[in-house]
Amino acid sequence: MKELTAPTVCLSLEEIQHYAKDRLDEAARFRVENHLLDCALCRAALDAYMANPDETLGADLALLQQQIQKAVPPKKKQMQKIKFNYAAAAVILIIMTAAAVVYWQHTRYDRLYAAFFSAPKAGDVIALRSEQGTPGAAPTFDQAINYYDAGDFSAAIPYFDAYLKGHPDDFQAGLYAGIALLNGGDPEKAIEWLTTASINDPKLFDEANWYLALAFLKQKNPAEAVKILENLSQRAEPVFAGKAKALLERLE
Amino acid sequence: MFIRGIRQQALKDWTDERLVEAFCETGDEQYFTELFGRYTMQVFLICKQYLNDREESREMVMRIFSKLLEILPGLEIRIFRNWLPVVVQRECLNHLRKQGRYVPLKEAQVPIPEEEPEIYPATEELPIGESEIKAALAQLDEAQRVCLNLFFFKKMSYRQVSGQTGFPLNEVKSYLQNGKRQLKKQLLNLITTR
Repeated sequence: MKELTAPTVCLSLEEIQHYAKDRLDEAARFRVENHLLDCALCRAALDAYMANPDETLGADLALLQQQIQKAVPPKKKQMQKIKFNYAAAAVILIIMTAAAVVYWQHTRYDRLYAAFFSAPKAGDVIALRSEQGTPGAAPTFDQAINYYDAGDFSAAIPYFDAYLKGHPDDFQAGLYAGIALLNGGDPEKAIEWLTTASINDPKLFDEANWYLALAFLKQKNPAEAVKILENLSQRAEPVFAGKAKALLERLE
Repeated sequence: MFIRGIRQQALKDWTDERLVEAFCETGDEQYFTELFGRYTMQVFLICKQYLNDREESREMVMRIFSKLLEILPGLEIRIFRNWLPVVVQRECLNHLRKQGRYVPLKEAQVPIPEEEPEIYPATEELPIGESEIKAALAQLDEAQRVCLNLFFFKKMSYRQVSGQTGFPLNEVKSYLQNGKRQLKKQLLNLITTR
């Protein structure tokens, strides 16, 4: 009874071949004939086969299956290519945007440093030191200050080094050496001299700490810079407190 | 590649109707590739009957594949495998005509099949009892009923039914096809009026 209403499955090539040659047992023959009642396609295929029986169709069908699996018409291929190009363009755009954001973030501290850094003139301070009876400056120190005031910090650094070897307690010279090193591209060594100056000479504390904050900024260490700036903004002389607040605002 | 393999395996369990719907909705040719792949053998045999050349028949199969891939989304196909032989026949005859080749009298061999009402999914068995089937059988023409009884209940072949009833073989096939279709229609009506 069930065979009357149950769905039937299309014939295989073997079934068609065996049916055409009357080589099926009763059950298989019934399945074939029952399906033929439902399926115009298999009826047409069986008629076609019986009109020209051929036992060697397997290779043709295998070839066709391969071609069908591979076949994508040109229009589709073109669409896929266009889709791929759009996808590739989108990926490149995303990567470039991400790179721009990373670059912008990475150079943000350099840009803040450049906006806030300005080297104090040292010549006036030297004159003041002479007036106050500070021991006569060595030629190396004079040379370092000349280069420093001329803005040639890299040229000043060796003279500062040479002078400070003989005068490690001249913290004011250490401060200028730190500033020169900071602007000359060696923030790590600058931090050493600036820290020494800030710890050992209370008169230099605000100025040394201001440049220390800038040095940490240049090292991409905003956390240390913020700590110093917060301290300065609350306790320093108005000039440095104002600078510190302005830089803190920009950092936030 | 691995995921594509799994996906293709999963598509093998899909019905024709689901594949047609998915292809028409998405335009993704993998659905159509699976669908057409099921009937490549039948399409090839029909092409070979008309063109009588293996290579030309293979080319025709691929041409039909490409054409259907293009036009199927714009059509409303209910039963793909019933519609397919009509398309294949038409394409083969057009091809022969364009080449000015002899068109055999096979032109009328593949009739446009009568569409069955799709009230119930074609892949599922009808929820019908034996008594209801017997009642529906009783309403058929006598020739149809006799042939169906011999074929389904005595498990006779077409040829044996022909020998038993004296009907020519083609008439037996016709009685069985039409009788089975009529019977299904009646049973589907019964289900919908329950």
